[in-house]
Amino acid sequence: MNELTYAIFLPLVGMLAVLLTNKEKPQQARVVGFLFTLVTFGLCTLVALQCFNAGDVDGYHYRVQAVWIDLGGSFQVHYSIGVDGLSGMLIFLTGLLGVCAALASWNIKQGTRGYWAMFLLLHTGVIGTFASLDLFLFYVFWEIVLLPMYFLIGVWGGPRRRYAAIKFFLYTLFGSVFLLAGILVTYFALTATGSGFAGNPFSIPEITAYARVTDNIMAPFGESAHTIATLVFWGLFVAFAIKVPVFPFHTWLPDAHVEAPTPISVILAGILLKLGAYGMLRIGFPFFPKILHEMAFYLGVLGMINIIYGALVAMAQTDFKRLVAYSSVSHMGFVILGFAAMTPESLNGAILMMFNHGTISGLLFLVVGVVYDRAHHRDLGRFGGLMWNMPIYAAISGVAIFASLGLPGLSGFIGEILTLLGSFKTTFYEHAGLITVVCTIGLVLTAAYYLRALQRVFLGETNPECESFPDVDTREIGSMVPLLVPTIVFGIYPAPLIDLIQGPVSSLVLMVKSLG
Amino acid sequence: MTAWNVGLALPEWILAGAGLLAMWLDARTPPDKKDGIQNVAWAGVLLATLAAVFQGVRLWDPGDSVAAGGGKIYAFRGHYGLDAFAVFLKVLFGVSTLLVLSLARSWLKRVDRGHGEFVMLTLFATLGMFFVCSVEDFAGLFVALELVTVSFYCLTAFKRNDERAVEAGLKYVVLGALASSFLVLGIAFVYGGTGSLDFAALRSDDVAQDLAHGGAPLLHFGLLLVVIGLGFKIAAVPFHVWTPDVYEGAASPVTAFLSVGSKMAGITLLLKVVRACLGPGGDAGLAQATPWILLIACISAATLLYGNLGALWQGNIKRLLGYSSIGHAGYVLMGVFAFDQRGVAAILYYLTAYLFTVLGIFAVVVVVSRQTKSHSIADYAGLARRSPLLAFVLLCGLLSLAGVPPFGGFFGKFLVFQAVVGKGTPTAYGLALVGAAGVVISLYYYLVIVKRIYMEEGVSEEPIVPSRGMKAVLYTCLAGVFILGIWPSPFLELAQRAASALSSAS
Amino acid sequence: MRAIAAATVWADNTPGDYLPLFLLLGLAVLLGATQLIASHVLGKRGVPSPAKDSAYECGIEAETSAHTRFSVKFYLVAVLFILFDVEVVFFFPWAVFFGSGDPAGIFENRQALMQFAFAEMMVFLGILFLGWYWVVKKRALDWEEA
Repeated sequence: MNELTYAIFLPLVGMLAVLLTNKEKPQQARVVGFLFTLVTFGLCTLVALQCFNAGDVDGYHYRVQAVWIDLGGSFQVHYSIGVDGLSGMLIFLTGLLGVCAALASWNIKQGTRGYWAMFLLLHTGVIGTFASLDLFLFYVFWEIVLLPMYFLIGVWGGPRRRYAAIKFFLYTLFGSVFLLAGILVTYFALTATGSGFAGNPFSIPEITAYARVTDNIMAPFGESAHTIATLVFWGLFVAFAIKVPVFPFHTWLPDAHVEAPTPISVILAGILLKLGAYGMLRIGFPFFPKILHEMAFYLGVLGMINIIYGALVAMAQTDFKRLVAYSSVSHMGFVILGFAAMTPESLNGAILMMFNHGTISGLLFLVVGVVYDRAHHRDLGRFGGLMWNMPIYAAISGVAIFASLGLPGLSGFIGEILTLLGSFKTTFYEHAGLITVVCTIGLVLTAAYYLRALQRVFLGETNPECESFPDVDTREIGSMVPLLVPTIVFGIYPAPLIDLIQGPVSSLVLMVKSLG
Repeated sequence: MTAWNVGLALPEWILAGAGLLAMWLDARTPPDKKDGIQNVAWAGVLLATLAAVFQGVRLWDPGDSVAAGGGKIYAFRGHYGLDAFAVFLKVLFGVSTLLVLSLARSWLKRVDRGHGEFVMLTLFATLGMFFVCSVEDFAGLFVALELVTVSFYCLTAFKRNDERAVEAGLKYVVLGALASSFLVLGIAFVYGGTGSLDFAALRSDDVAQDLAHGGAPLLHFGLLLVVIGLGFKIAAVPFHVWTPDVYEGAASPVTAFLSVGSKMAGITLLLKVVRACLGPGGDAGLAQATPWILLIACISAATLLYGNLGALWQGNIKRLLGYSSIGHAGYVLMGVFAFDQRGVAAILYYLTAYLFTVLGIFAVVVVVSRQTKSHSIADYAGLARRSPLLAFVLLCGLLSLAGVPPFGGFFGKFLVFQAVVGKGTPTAYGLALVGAAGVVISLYYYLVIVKRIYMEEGVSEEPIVPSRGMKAVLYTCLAGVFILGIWPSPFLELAQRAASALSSAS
Repeated sequence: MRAIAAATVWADNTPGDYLPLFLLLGLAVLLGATQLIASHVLGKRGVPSPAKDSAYECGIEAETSAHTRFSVKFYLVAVLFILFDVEVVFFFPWAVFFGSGDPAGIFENRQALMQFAFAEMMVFLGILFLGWYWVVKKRALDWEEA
């Protein structure tokens, strides 16, 4: 038992506590839920801080390993958790966004207890997924995330919430099936006769280490080993790509984002998308470095499509929230592009992008939420001149938007530029330069749609419809500031983040170097 | 093998005694005082289950004389066998009957006649299920299965003034009789092929050789007919046509019993027959016969696709559960396809989880339909407001059926897929792929129900309050679904022991 | 273990052993086909008339529809009769088996055989009588009462 375990299961305890509160007094549920979120954030911070120290033998902190399910023979599922800089950073992000989303959840009026229970369950699922070092455990937590999300969108969402919720669930479950199949095939390959693997066939670190020293972990399949490895690689990729989301698996995202209530959009964009990217870095790529090398070009192309396509579609949106949703598709494209290049710069960039996109898109969804609360619509054509009657709001929104379009000095810039630099000079796959150049067009498109949105909402004459809108209140500011701070601080001084992820990045780079 | 050893059948004796006692009491009590019979039945099934558990404990104690000799003991001169496999299933049957009886208790209050008959028939069906676990030859197989099936014919048509119930009963009788005739004809051919009705005769090396390499065509034909006959009982495509109508027409507790008890009885026998066809070591015979492997794979794939696709269009929850139960037969057949110990263990775990899941769902159906007088899924809208407990049980049950962690159904499915993928053949991968498609399809229609109960406004806001007995059933099933999903190890171990007992049966 | 005499005979059967069966099957099909074809070839085509289409009842014209309703009691009694009748049929194999002594050598001596046979039949009859008692008590045999 250690802080990491507490961070995973404290929200679960919180869920039960929330369910025990008085149904007639929703304020109780809010306060209890918020307190648990806050303490969880504290634990997450502790965990993340610990990751600055190197020292643990296998590079993971808070390592716990205990047998969970024993089927006899090699089939042992462990409760095996641990964090390195990468997962530590994402767990910190989870805690941070959790607190902001919790503050933004104050105006959920209906079914308050149920809402907070699901909200806390979601935390358990997400933190558990980031912390799992056992494939099976990873899968279980991965699935646990689905359930509260389904309810949070489906019960507390917008008009088309039911459609969006089912679409979200089915898309992700479709991917999960591939994930499970991949886990099973890997298990059988590793335990088959002729495999040189002697460890635990579910242990992520052990398989990763083994994949480094062997040609192909699917070797026992004989002649078809390479084909099967390729299939499993793509199967896992699809499973994770649906969450990221990578074109063409992205169509659930605009629906889910638009229909979800504001705090849930924040978590969806800020954390759930990172689950997919995290899965690639933790499982998909390290298990099959050779296949990754062969397929990097296609990943690069997919990243490029995401960037350009997401930006183009975002340009066509009239709904503020949909615009932000498609901008997520575009930005996650940079993450994929960075992964494909596999240089230290691109990886650093992509992972920074994961963190910064988490804070910035969270902030943007809060921004959209604020205006939606007042206007009850999100039509870009029906705002205007908000900066005159809502100056604080406009300032915060400005920072968020400029950060998202990659203005130097704000945190969005550093990830994008590192990714592009790394991607441009990589030799990991052919034609990387060309792809990168095309991707830079995405930057221009991003600037275009964001500036246009900024103009239509905040500048110009105040729309008469919007004249009565009050400026943001203390609670709203409170929910935004925690995201505003890292956006500015890490924009100026990203060193702590780079420090944090140094270990995982260098190990990925080493893996690639060993390919020659 | 030649000993009578009559005491070994203690659970069956208890059940038979309870059944006859119930009959005696039913004849002697006036129509409005039938509660005593229900208590007798409850106590009888409980005692029989405990007896089975006790036998299991002795059977698994390595120091006990019983465990010597391959862990299997015989009674009635070899016609009755008891091993870990039999005990495991007997306990499952016992638990499901107990739950069904508890379910029926509040339901029977709404029925004005036939309480005694209902209880008696349930007891006789349970007796048949217990025998099913222990039969060692085809004659016993037929008699035990008919005892189950005939009881179910009557139970299906139990609401005799209800047109649908009578229609369902008639359909079930006609198609069931057809299936039985297939089964008997198959048994005749198998007898012709081996010269004996014993399962043991099928297990010999010679027969295994024949089965593996296409010798003895009549034996193959006989086995095919037996598989068809049993396929009817478990509702495998293309022998499934009766399922949706019977599920819809029969009273809810009967449907619950049918989908758990009757199906498990068919599966038990299928496993026993298939095991007998695998040679002495359990790896020869059908396990090497490519056409048979393909046949089972095809039936399995067709069953789970048909069941899950058919369920998509259903507006009646019982019909939907009927189709979904066809789909689940497909997953069980995936375990059969594996033709090995791992597959059997997977099936046993699957059935354990399935039992609690399905009975929990049916408990909800019984309670809800009492108030709404309807089985339409549309009338489940807003259930979460009317009764959070019922909605939550239904949610967990449906997700467990779909195979989402952390519910029991997930592990069942996982183990089945593991057993299939572990085969490593292209057929196995293909089947696993179809199975995965089935899971995704099924999730859609389960989610549609979840959407209705949690996200839609109902016509009525009137709360639905389950009775105390019903609450007990609901909580038991809920606990079962969760425990099997979160802490599977002990149950897995039991299932594995049972499976290894079946595999090593000599 | 169970020494059924026939078992050894059948043990090494071949499909050829089923030849008589197939012969019988063929014969049955042939007979049916012959009759149908013969009547088709030889018979005269009649012209339908009301008299020809009417039901034939001993030369007397039918007066009412044949679809009259019977009291369900008839079925009940008939079913019960068949049930008990069939149960009684089980006496025959019982008598034949135990009457033939103990060819399989299952029992220690003749007395043990007799005891077992008697006990078995008593159990069987006991269940049968319980069923009969139940039927009587349920008033299934009372004709008058509904």
